[in-house]
Amino acid sequence: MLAGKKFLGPQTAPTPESRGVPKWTGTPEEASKMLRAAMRHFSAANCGFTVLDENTSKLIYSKDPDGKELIFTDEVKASETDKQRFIPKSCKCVMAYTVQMSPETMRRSPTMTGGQTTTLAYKRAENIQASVQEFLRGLGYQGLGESSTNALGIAPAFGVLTGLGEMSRLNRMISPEFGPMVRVFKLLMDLPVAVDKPIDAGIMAFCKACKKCAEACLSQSLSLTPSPPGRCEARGTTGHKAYFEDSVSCMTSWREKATTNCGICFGVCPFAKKDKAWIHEMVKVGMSVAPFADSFFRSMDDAFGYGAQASGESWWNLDLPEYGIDSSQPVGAV
Amino acid sequence: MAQQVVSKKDYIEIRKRPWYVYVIGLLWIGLIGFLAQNAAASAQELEPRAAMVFWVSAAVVLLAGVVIAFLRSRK
Repeated sequence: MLAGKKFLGPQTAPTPESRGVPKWTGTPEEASKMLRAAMRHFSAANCGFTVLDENTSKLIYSKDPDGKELIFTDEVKASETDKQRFIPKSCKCVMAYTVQMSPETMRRSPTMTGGQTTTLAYKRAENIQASVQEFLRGLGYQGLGESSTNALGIAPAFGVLTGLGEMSRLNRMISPEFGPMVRVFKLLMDLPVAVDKPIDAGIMAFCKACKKCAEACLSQSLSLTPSPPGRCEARGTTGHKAYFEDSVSCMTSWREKATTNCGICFGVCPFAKKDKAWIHEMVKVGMSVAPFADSFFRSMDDAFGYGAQASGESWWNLDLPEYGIDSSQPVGAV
Repeated sequence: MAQQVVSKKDYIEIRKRPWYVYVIGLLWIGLIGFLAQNAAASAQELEPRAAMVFWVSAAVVLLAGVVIAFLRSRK
């Protein structure tokens, strides 16, 4: 597939007009079901849907990382100039999707083995985005993607709104199925879809008692406050429920101490489990219905040795599946 | 055919186990299965310490059940 992220996509797939056929039509539910199947086929872990309204439109950036302005327009077709990207107001459906990362490389952070984990997920997302943009184009719709890594809008926020997961102490989205071992991406489209609702799987409540990521952080960049403050004084941001991290000290640590990407907070997270042992599902159920036992679950996580970092050298001796991920793991929404 | 003569003092006592013994037995087998599954799966998950804890737990539960069953049968 064509690599490289583009706001408008590769634009090479034949459109219904060029083929002389009508564009695809169906109910929003059918569209959602179709896209979920397609996204899994394109190697996304999971996907969810929401709609941009007056409030959630704020999650779309005013400027992309390359400096181009993002402007909502009444035009029907999306377009792009040297300085601006125009988003039709008809492209109000948001698809957030996740891409799995390898737990076995991430638990070896901060090393080069661990550091490439996120890079590999971003590279895979390039192909996924291009694939779904072409898929939508072939159906007669538009898919507006990230022009570069983390462009367009705030991915974790859309992940939460679409029910893919909850925010966490490491200030990233954690999904019930894959924990923090996913990257989150987003795409705008004019294909009407059935929207999903945010979830409460007890993840953020568990973070109150856990603090494992913050304790393991090399630069003490993660918050140890018992509850999400809801306001970040340093950034002057309010209104969203999150633990805030000191991004400056985190990035400084990357450059000066780790000399590569870090990711210890991902690796040690109790949610960063594979799904083979039955006990994990039982603990997840326990966390969601009995938050008073969260401290006990955290203690047991330590006792069983979960989240222990492994040596970079040992990774070369492992027999792992493709990309180091288990793509057979089912997801609740599909 | 010679008729077997049974002494009046010889008898076989058949004691029916109470229902909860069967329930406990099933729970015991289920618990061992659960622990063994977690042990084997933890090894697959490359979590050696968790695997060891589950294997040891399974062995302890298995041994405890065997010992209790043996002691009960001796009564």
